[in-house]
Amino acid sequence: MTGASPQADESAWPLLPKERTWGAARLTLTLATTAAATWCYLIGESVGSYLGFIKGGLALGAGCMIGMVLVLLACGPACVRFGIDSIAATKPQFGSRGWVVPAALQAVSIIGWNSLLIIFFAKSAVQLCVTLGLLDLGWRNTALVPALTVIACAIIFLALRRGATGVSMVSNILVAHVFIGLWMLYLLVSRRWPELVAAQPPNASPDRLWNYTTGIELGIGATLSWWPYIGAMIRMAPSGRTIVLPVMLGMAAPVPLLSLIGLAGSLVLKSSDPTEWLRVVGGPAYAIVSLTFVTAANFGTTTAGIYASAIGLRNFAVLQKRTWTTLLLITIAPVALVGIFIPELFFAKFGNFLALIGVAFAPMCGVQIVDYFVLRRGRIDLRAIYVDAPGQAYYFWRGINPAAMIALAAGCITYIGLLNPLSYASAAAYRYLTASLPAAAAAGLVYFLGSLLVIRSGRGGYPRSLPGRLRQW
Amino acid sequence: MISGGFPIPMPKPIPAAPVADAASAPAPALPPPLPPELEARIEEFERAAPRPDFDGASWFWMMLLGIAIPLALLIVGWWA
Repeated sequence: MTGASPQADESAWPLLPKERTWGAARLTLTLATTAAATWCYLIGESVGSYLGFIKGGLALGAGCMIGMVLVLLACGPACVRFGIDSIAATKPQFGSRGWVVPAALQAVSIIGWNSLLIIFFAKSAVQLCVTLGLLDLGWRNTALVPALTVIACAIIFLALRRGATGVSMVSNILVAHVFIGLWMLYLLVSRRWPELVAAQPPNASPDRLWNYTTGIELGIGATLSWWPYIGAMIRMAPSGRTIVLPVMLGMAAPVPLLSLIGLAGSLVLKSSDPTEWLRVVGGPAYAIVSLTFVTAANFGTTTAGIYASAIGLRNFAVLQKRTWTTLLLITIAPVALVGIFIPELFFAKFGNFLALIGVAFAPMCGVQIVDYFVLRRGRIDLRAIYVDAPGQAYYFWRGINPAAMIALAAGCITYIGLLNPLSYASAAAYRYLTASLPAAAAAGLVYFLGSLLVIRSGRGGYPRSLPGRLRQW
Repeated sequence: MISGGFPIPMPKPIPAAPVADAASAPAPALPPPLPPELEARIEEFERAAPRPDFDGASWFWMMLLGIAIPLALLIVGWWA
């Protein structure tokens, strides 16, 4: 049991310290189950296009850890101090109404990713049934994808009726898939090591540094995508000390480790999908194991994603008084509808849109880090987070802080100027800087400069002791 | 102090100020009341001592796992 009253962990209200009973082990399990999903193979395959196994693995691992620490510094302090989610933590920067921008990014990102993962889940489940001999090969199997999507959504709905406890319960059952994934990696590495080391990445640029930087960037981008998810999880832990190792080891480490499966598969067997290459390596029995892994992995991630998204939506006034069941239905419905009506179209087209959405998370982190550590020096007005009215600290101008909006736009422009996330066309500076880190830095700098004007206007609830020199600027 | 049964002097009611013409001097709108459960939660945080975010050990692990080890991995990876 979480110890939290059902109303608490199903709302966006601050969780009291006595209600936050997730220890380090429980948080690590939940975060690891959330992080490990099909996208690991896709990330690994992308890195394998430019880098070999060892270099790619190290660049990806380093990038993931750098990205994770950015997310932790951005969301962690406010979420863990007050037991609030990622979206509520953006109100001091974006304003008591401007937070809808991060909320929209969160909703689109999580619902988009969840739809993709649930389609993956359904396809894997169909393939598993075929491999087990429960289904024949044939066109009818395609029709099963929508049906399995609906069944998966129904199971997730039932699990999440218990709030955060449901997420933890699913994680406790499904965490085994992380170890199955590591076993699959061991198989490939132990049986194909000479080929792995000798394999050449197919799309490598002649520029070694560009390849290496792209490996790092893919790692940073992968973990920055956890920004929408992480607040809803770490708010269940009682202190900052409890969250750091689980986040860095439970969420940042599994992604590069499991991505090595996709990296190795794409380099040696020209396929990042373990369900294909495990059949080659170990026969049908191994294929069944890997299909079970893929099915379980996506199910766990989707459960956590739906929970985080539902908590984020709770910040909307019109949804505050709705029942948790209604909120879950609102969150799950788009995923189910996509899986039923347009699974193939969505599968083919929505990935590009998600890549563009992902560009915004680095600037978001830059804005939040500068706001909390530099401008506010850790002073957050919890009441102002929940009161949207003139005169409140985070009301700014009509509830919107233009400094944060401009900074977010500046960060996105910086990112796209350095690296086109769709074509990978890049500017000269990209090979030295990556794209996410300068985007976060640019957004942080623009936010800092813009906030000087906000502080002069007496808005934003910045601490009086801080600006000394800044207020006189 | 409330404990000990010490009689607490109640403040005298302040006579209401003459009400000005509402049209000429509109009073600032009060923020809408929060749900009682949320109000109680916020008050509990406001009463308690400020909660810390990260302690020294947390910063150590963050710097080690988020900066030092990634830098070492990058150096090793470049020469691999």
